Amino acid sequence: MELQSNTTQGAVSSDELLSRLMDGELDELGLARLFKMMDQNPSLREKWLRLNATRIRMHGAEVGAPSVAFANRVRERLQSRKPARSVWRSIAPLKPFAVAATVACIGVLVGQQLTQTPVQPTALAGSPVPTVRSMPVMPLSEQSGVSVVPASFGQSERVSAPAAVPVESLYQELARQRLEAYSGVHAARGALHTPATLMTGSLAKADSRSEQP
Amino acid sequence: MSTGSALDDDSDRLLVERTQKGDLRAFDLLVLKYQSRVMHVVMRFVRDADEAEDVAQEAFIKAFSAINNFRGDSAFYTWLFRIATNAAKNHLVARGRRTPVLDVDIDDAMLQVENERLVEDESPQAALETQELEVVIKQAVQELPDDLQTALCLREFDGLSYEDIAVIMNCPIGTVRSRIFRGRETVDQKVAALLNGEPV
Repeated sequence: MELQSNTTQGAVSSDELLSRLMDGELDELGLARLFKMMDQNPSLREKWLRLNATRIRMHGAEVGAPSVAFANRVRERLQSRKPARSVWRSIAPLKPFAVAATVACIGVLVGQQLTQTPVQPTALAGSPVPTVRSMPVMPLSEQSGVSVVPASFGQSERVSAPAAVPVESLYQELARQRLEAYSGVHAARGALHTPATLMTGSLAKADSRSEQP
Repeated sequence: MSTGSALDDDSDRLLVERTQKGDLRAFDLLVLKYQSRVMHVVMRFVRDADEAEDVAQEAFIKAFSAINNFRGDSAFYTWLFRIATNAAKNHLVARGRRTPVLDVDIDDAMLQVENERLVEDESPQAALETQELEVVIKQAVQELPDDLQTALCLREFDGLSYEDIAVIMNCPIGTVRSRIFRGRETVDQKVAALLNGEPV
């Protein structure tokens, strides 16, 4: 018997795809093709309904006259609910941009906070700044052009919002301290070599001590 | 007699997976497939046909909303019938009516849907159509050529796979697939003619 198919695509007709679907013999690709055919030919829904009603009847169960009206009403109700979902789906592609914009905003705010913090070079010694060996390690600002390396890396303690101190101030402070230290040493050595010191200074005292029994 | 459940399992799996991906067309096919059986389950609780249809619709809407909770531990129709049963019970509670004294077990309900004739709910015209339809289907199957009839019956009544049928009928799987399809087509043409009021 020659049978006519409603729609054909490739070698398999839409009717045969429906038959395979009834038997669970259809794969994803076949189902996608079937849906495409059903979009073009809505009467395939009625055919699917009839095939299943026939199967139920063949097994002796009683079913009412097959009608797509019920399924149409369910479909309409589900479609009327869909816009709420589609709004979220339509903005879904914008998610990465929203995240990027949020991160950028946070970065700008944090940057502003850091740049607006007053510089207090003299407060270095008292600030709770983590140190590596004996040298204080201060966070460097972006303006210095030097990449920031967290001093607390590998340590259990965390630095809480360190104050931004320009590196120039740090070096000026170090230079001042070294100059003072150098001046102190130089003054002490210079004092040792003056005539007065030789006679009355620490050397004379040392000599007098050595002469004592 | 096979209840057709094993056949449904295979068919439903793909449609359920597609529905879980948000494809409404796949769910539409599930509704078309199960609407009559769900209606019968609901009508065991809600006798009024209009109310039963509302409850059945609500059950399908709930099933769609909760489809991602379905993990495939049970058959889809078991899960669906449970939702329909709960929807019917909730409907009766909301209306201040008592649920039936005999609590309907889901398996019993399914078995009765498979076997029971709800003659009292049908109009004489509907009953006549139902009877006619049954006669047409039986006649159409009996008139099928032997190879088509054997393939279709082994699939529908014995629930055999295409591979098993191919071994039994000593032919390639492609031939089995074709015979089952052609057998269904022949029967469906006569069923469609009856439903359209054309001579069978």
